[in-house]
Amino acid sequence: MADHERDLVIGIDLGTTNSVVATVQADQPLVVRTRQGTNLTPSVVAVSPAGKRLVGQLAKRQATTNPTQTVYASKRLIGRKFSSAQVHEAVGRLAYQVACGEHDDVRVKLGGHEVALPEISAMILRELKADAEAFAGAPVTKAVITVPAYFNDGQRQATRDAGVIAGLDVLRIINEPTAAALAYGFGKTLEGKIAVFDLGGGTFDVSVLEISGGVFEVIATGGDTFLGGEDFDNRVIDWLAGAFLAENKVDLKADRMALQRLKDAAEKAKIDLSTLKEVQVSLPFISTVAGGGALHLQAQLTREKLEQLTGDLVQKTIDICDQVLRDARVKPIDLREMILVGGMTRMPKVFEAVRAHFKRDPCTSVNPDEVVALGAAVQAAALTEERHEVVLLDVTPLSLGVAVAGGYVRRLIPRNTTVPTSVTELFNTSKDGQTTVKIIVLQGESEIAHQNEMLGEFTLSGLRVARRGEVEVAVTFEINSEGIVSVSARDKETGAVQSITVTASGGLTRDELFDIMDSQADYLLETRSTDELLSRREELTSLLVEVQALLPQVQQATAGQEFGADAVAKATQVLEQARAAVEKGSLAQVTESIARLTRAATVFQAVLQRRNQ
Amino acid sequence: MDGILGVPMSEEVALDPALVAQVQELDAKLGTADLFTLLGVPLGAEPPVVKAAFFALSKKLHPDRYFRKELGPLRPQLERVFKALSTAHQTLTRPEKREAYLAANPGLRPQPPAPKRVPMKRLQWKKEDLK
Repeated sequence: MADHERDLVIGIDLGTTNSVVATVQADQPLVVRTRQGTNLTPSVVAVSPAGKRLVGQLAKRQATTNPTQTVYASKRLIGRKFSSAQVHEAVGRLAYQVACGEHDDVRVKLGGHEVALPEISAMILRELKADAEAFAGAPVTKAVITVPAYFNDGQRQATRDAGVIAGLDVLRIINEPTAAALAYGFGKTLEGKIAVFDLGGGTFDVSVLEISGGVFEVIATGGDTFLGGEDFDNRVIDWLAGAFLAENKVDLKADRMALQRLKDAAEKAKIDLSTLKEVQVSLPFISTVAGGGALHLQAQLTREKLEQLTGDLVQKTIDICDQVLRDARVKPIDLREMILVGGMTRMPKVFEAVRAHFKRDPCTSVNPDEVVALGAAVQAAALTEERHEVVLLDVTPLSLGVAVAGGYVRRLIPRNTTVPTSVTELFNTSKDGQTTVKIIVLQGESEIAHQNEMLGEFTLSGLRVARRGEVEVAVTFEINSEGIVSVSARDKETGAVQSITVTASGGLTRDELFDIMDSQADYLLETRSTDELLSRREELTSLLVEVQALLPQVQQATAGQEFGADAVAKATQVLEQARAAVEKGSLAQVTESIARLTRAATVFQAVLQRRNQ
Repeated sequence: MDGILGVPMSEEVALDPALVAQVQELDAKLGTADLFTLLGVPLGAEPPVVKAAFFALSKKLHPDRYFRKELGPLRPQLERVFKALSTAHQTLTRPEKREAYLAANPGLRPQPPAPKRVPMKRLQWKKEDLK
C-alpha cells in the first residue's frame, strides 16, 4: 500500500439485534453498507441443514424454518456465567440450545458443536470486516468495538476476544452511550452537559457527559445489561401464547418452531405499533390439534395494550435515569441535550416517558440505529490519526473491591471513577501466623462479598509468620481505558508480587464463591481501620449532601401534614448527628450515621414520590 | 511516521521537548505537591476552574494522544502523571471527596471571603425612606 494511503480503520457497534460498521472518510463519519446493500446486519448466525454457515440477513431469513440452528441475541449471554439468573431466564426463551462450558461459561449448540459465545460474536464481526473490506477494496484490521457501558469486566473481555478471533486488531473497546455522544458532538462546538439514553435490543444504558473543547467526560453512567427490545418482545410473546393456551390448551412456547414464529411476529407487531395504533397478528398453521387439524393464531394488538404490557420496563429505564442523574449531581434542567439511542427509543411510550421525565424534547437529529457505530469510527480515527480533536474520559460503571474478613467487600475503586485509574491500598493479615492471603476480586455494588460478581482470585504466600495485623500487603487495582481490570498484591516486607489480569474464563459460580468465603475465611485480608474510617466518612459526607439537598423540598411537600412533619423532625436530628460524626466520630458512629441517614433518604424519596403522584 | 507494511505495534515519535519537560516536572511533584498545585490552579480553586484546567491538561497529556507510539521511559511517567491528574480532578470536583480532602488539609481552603454587606437592610431602609 502506498505510504500516503492510510489503512481504513473502522468502528463496530456489535448489537444484540443488529450490528453496524462505520468509518471516517474525508472528515465525515459514515456507515459502511453491507454487500447486500443494507446499513444494518442482523446479529444472527446459523448453520443450514446442508451444513453451511450463514450470518446476518441470510441467517435471519431462514430462522423460522431452522429455529434450533439459528442463534440470535447472543450478546445477552456473552461473558456471563451459565449459573447466573439472567442466563436461566434467557435459556427458557431461546429456540436454540445452550450448554454449560468448562468455566461456567455459556456454549451454544450449533452444527453439532458446542460453540463459545465469543466465537459466535466473531462470526458476526468477520462478516462486518468483510463488508468493510469490500468497501475499502483492501484488507481492514483496525477496529474500535462498542459494548454497553454497564458491561462488566467478563463481558468486555469476551467481546475483545471475539474481535481477536475474527482477525481484528481491536484498538479499543468503548462504551456505546459514549460513542453516541462522540458522534453527536463531532464537528460541533458543543459545550455543556448532555445525557444519552440508550435502549437497544438487549441492554439499557444511560450516561451523563460534560463536553468542552473536544473533551468528552463521562460524569456518571448506569444501566441494566438485561433490559432491551428482547424483553418488550417477550411480553408480547407471553401475551399471545397465554391467550392461545387458554383458548386451545396448546403451549406454543414449548414448540421451537412456533416460538420462533411468535418471536418474529411479536417483534414486527411491536415495531409496527410505533407508527400504527393497532395491528393484526396472524400466524396460520401455528400448531396442530391431536386429531390432525390445524390451529391458527389470530390476534389484535393495540398500542395501548403494548404499553400496558411493557409499562414496568419503561418505568425501569426512568428509575435508572434518576439514579444516574443523582450520581452525576445533575438536574434535568442542567442538561443541554438528551440524545436517544437504540431502536427501542422509536417506541412512542419510551420517547414520551423520556420527554416527560427530562422535561425537554429529546434530540431527533441522530439516527438511533447508526450513531453508536459512527462514534466508534470517530474514536478509531482519533486514536490512529495525527490530528487529535477529541479526548474521551470514560468511567468504570461498577465498583471494584476485594473480599475481606467477615464476608464483606472493601471497595478500592468506586463506580463512576474516570479510567484509566489505579489505586493501591495496604491491608493486614487477619489471623495470627497467617502466611498466605487470598485476594478475591469483586465487581459490583453490594457490601456483601458473594452478592458481587467475582472476577478472579489469586494467592500471595510466603508471608512472615507474625501476629495478626503485623504483616502488610499492598493491593493495587488497575482499570485500563477499556474498563478491563488487573490486580496485583505485594508483600511489603519481601517485595514478593502476585498479579493477575482477571479473565472471564477464570470465573467461579456464585455457590463456589460462597463456599470460598466460608471455608477460606482464614486466608482473607483485613482492612486497616483508618482507611475504612476515611472512606466511610466520605460516604457519610455524600449522603449528608444528598439528604440536605432534599430537605427543603420535603419540608415544602409535608407542610401541614402529620406524616411528613414527623419525618422532617427526625431527619433534622439525624442530620445533626451525622454532621458531628463526620467531624470526629468513631468508625462505629460513622457507620451508624450512614445507616440512619440512608433510612432518612428512603423516607424522603417516598415522601417526594407520593407528592408527585 | 511513514506507514510500512507490517508496521510494528508502536511507532517511533519525535517528542516535543516542552512536553517531556512538563511530564517530568509533574511526575516529580507527585506525592509532594497538593492537588491544586498539581493541576496548576490557585489554592482552593472552585470546581469549574479545576475542571477547565484538567480538560486543558487532558488534551495534551492523555495517554490516548500517544496511542501505540513509542515513548520509551516517558510512557510510564505519562501514565502515572495522567492518573494522578485525573484523581486530583475527581477529588476536587466531587463534593464529598473535596470536602474530605480539604478537611484533611485545612491549609488549602480558600481564604474566607470578606464579610458581606447586607443588601437586605439597605432595601428596608429604602422602603422606610419611601414611607
